[in-house]
Amino acid sequence: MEKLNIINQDILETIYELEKNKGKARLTDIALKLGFSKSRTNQEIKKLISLGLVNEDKYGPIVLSKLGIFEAERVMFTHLLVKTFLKNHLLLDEETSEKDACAIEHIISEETIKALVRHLEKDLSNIGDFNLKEAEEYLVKKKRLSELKIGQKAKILKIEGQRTIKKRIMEFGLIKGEIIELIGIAPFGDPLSFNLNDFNLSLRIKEADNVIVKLVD
Amino acid sequence: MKKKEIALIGNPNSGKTTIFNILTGSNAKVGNWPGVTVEKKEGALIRHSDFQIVDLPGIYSLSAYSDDEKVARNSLLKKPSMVIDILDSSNLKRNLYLTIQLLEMNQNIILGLNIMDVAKKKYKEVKLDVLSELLNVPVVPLVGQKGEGINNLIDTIINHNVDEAVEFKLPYGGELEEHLDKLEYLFSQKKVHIPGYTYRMLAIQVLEGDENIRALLKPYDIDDFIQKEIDHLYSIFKDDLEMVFIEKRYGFIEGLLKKVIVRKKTIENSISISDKVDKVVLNPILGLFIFFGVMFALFQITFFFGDYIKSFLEIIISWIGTFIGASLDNNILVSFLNDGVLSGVGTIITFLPNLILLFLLLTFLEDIGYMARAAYLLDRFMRFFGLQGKAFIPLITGFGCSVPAVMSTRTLESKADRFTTIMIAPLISCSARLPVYILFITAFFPNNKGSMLFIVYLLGIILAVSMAKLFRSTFFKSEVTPFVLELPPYRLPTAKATFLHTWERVKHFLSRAGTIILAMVIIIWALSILPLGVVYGSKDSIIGIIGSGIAPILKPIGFGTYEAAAALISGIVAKEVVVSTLSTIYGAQGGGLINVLSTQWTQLQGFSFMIMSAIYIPCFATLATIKQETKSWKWMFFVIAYTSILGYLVSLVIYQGGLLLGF
Repeated sequence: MEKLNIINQDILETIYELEKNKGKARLTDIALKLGFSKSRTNQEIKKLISLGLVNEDKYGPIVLSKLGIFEAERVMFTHLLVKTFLKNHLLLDEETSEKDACAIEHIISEETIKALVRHLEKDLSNIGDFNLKEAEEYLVKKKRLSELKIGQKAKILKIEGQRTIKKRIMEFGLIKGEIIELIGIAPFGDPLSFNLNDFNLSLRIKEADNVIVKLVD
Repeated sequence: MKKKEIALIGNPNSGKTTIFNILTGSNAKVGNWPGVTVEKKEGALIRHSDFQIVDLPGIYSLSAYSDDEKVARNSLLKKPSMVIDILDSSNLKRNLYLTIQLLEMNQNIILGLNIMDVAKKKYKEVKLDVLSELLNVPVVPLVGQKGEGINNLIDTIINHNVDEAVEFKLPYGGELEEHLDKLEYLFSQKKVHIPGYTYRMLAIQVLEGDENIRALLKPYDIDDFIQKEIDHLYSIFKDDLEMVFIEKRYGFIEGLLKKVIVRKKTIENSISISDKVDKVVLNPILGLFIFFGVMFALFQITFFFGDYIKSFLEIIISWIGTFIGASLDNNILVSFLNDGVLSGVGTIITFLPNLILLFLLLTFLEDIGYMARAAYLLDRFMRFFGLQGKAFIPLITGFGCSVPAVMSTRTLESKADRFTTIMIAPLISCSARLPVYILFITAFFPNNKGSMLFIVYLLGIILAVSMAKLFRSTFFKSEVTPFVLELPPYRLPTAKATFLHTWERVKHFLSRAGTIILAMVIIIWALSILPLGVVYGSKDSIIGIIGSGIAPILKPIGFGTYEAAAALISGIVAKEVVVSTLSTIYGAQGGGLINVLSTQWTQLQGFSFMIMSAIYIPCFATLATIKQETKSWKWMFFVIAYTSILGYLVSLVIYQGGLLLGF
């Protein structure tokens, strides 16, 4: 998948929070929260629909797909980590911590996340409602299959996405619990080739996007 | 006595075709399944002709998404006497998925565990007796490449008691099982009868969300009940139920394999030879070089050696023609034999060397496992044009000849991909168009020969890819077929298998396309010689009259003359005939013809004509092949229509634009 930009991530996070706090996310609320016009918000959401992160439904509230929830939680966990660090260790006030966390969350590297966790776990085990270790594992280990690097092995956690595609992929043997390794990337960056059990197969990035995996050592 | 029908099935790359060839001793008949372009092969079992073996398409599962799967599923529903399921023993997990589906369909199956030699090296032990016992089916070890185990398989087939089969029931556990029972009970209460299906099959497939089954069950007035069951289970599993079923099946296989396969204690870390080769062949940069090298070699061998044999055959044909001319008195008969039959047969025969060589090489590349790699390497690039990786091969073949190009689209599984490629393949300039280009370029652009030739070829490519994009977004809207492609280990095919496979394809071409080509060439001959007494192909012949009729239409694109129109019409026989027709009409050859053209036509007219002849209606042989491959006259006529219109429009732009610019 093409990398999500800051606006994509902000919208996902906003929908996620609205769903959690208010039960549902409406276009007006999202627009209001981000300070966008309604039509701009609508456009941005269309993009998320095309990426398979938001379910397509013209009239109802805006609902994140399972992949959307996955991406939103990534941003949210990062946000919480950074904010806790700013507040607890740099002793910044709530407002500044919140605002800066919103900016830093989009560009922070995996290494920094790991370092932050090392630092935070000295005196706390939970951030918000979440276990710190869990959050780290989520951010560092949980990936989409398309995000693996060559030679990395991962355990398949879940297949998402459209039914027909999901079924095809699963019937091919990409089942929860299997170990899969990225062995190559084709010219122009797509498709990818993998080793699974006793055979090699190739998936386009678009399909590999639907598979959520956890890195194994 | 009625023949016992045996269906042969298995995953792609399981070595099924080899087994089929040995079992039938290459007496197979090749045809197509009704209504689809999926190849159908059947033949009698060697030494036991009361068994008829039908080769089903190689598939990974029985979900009815692709044509291949639908064909397999429908023939299995007709309940063949038995089903031989060929598995790649070195990759049992995925191969067994199909087996489980077959067992759930209540088929009488025999498992052929192929590629046993590799499995024996890979695992410490494969307990075939355990597998046979657990699934309650006969299991035969095979090494298809070496013919090992075949006699054993034949004995098993003959002695297999088909009435004895016990119903296979994969235990889906607690909740699912309970609701399957409920549905089965409901079906028996309602006396549901759907041919080919047991109650359990129906129950499973209904829960999996199979729309077709759901529709078949409509008359029994149980739809609400079914929906309630589905909703209830969905609320428990929080996932589409078919995914739950797939996971359960794989779970069952996992358990099965734990008992059947004894893995080696120390996992050998040595990378297989196949993976080592792939490190180079699939390297993003090196891989592309290798690919182009392979394509270059393919092209060279096909058309260089092929043309050698071709020119040799052409000499023989012209000898026969001279002989006929010398030994018969009746002019019309001579003309019929020479200009009609012989030129028809000649057209077919002269295609053969190229075709055979190309098929031989393509079959080899396919069997060895390189085709899948080529598709992988080129996929992203071809997607710019709305096509997928494998479409590259037909297009590059098109530079040689459109006939094999159209035929080689068979490697494309998706119908949309395949038809799009077939439609655009004729736009790539084939070698038969070269004489036309050379004539016109020499006559009108003597100083820019190279660059003009390049422009014509480039135009063909640009039009082909633009049309691909257009067709893809109109007629052949992409159905969602994910690009899940197996990269099988490299395997050296046996020479016999390669030749057999090639011969099947050639035979198919001869029997289908051959007859159409012959008929069409004879029709053009008749049009050229009638009414009796006219000079062959002259202004007074039917073709001349048609030419004069068309001429005014061609005026806006620069060459509204009977000569040009007649040349274009006869060019449909074969593109190079444009040149010979022009030389007959103008009564001049070689340099003479060039002189006549360059004095009677303007440069712009010549250029416009050349472009038209590059794009308009493909030759008869190509048209016949398109008809044969698409199984429809509709698409053949569509190609005729769209290439004519496209050629006309491009020439119109060139000619009128040229006039405006003052050329």
